[in-house]
Amino acid sequence: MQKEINFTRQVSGNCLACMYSSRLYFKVFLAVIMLGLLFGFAPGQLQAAQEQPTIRLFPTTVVENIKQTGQTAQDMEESLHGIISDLEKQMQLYKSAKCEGSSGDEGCQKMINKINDKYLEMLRKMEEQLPKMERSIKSTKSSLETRLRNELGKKMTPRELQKMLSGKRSEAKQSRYRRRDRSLSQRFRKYYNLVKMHGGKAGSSSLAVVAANTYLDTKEVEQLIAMTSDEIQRAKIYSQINRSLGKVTPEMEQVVSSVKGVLFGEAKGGPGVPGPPPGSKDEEYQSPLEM
Amino acid sequence: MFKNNNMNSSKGMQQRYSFGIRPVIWIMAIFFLVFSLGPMIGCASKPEPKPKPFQCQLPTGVNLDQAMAEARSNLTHQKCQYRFDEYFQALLEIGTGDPKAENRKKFSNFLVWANEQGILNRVQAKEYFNRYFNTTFVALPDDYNVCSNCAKQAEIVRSMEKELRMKEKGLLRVCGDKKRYYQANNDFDSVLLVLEATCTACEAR
Repeated sequence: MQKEINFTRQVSGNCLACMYSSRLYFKVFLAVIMLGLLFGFAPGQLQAAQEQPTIRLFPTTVVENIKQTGQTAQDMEESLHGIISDLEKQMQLYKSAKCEGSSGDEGCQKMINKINDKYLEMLRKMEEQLPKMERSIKSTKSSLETRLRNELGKKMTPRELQKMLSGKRSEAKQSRYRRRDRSLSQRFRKYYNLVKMHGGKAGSSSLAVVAANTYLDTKEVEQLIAMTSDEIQRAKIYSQINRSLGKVTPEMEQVVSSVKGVLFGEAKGGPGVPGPPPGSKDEEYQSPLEM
Repeated sequence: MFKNNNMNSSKGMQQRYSFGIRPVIWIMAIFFLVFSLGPMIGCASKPEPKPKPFQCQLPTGVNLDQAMAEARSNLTHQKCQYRFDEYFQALLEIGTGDPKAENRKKFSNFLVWANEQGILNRVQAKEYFNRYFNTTFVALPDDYNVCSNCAKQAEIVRSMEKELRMKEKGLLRVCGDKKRYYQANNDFDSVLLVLEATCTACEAR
């Protein structure tokens, strides 16, 4: 009888242990599901994330650099907008008055002096702003350069690059038709927002495109800064000579045009590619030859 | 006596010799007739018609199925196999006359058949299919990493441009598959942009 009781206790004790352990497992399972939901992972996504190599193109420092560059570019644009606008008007007036090639005309000489003064004013303003902009751009460029080289350049083959980018509609994608219809600050603000939207991490294809665009933009701005710095030095020396020669040099026009192009986003060339028409969805044949 | 004997013996010898030489001559004559004149008489009496050489004709018409059957029959001749690309191009051209989604499967089956027949190897068949009927760019190397391929970036871009035109023909004009073609076009833009930036970064070391 005693044996029977003991046996019953043992059995019931074991069952309790079973129940306890199954509850524990259930709790753990629930916790995992909850955590998954909390971090936005559906099972499919989790699998997809495991399949894709982890690419970190935008650590916090890079994101902050982009933000800073956008702000600096905005400051620069605001201070230069009025001057460049005046300068352009004066250059237009100079051309329409057919002053090119005429010498000794007093009116034309006055116009040239005004243009030279405005041009120097523009250069001086840029000189004030340039060091800050240069630091910011260099820092962004350098960090993006390292990231692009290490994360995409060394970890992937060109075909893997396509696989990563494939089928994802990206905001800033056109390489053949890269448009400059936005100002520099707007562009950097847009990049910043895109990176923030994606959380700055994960192997997102669109982030690779954003990184590429941002990097190429920083390269372009860096070139402009170098060109402008040279021009400032040159202009300081020759401003008086220019005045006495009575010329609006092609270099001046080129610099103004470049500054406008990069800072204010003057579009060059024709309109971009028209968007694709809606495609058919009924064919999903999978060939055994597909790569 | 002795003389007679001698004479007898020489006659006997002559008889013996003539008996021995004649069959040899006869045998030689027969051999001569059989081996030299025989075939000439045979050829003259039975002239065989010369087989006409097979003409490899590229498929024509407007029906893709018929054209493919025609191409298959032609391509079984070894002589036509080295002209596979011409056959493929002719079929594509016929396909543009009636663009539809099923054409993708038809071309895939045709390439699989060509592989099974030993006209193309597996890699070649895959390349044909993917160049014309898939969004993946065969022109993009898959051996070394991006940085290692930057030296031939210009060549890659040219090949991709060429391949995009092939995809336009295959996906858009033969299959009427706008969705896939525009995806390939988008991929082309994105890849070129990222490749340009990455290679600039690789070279900036």
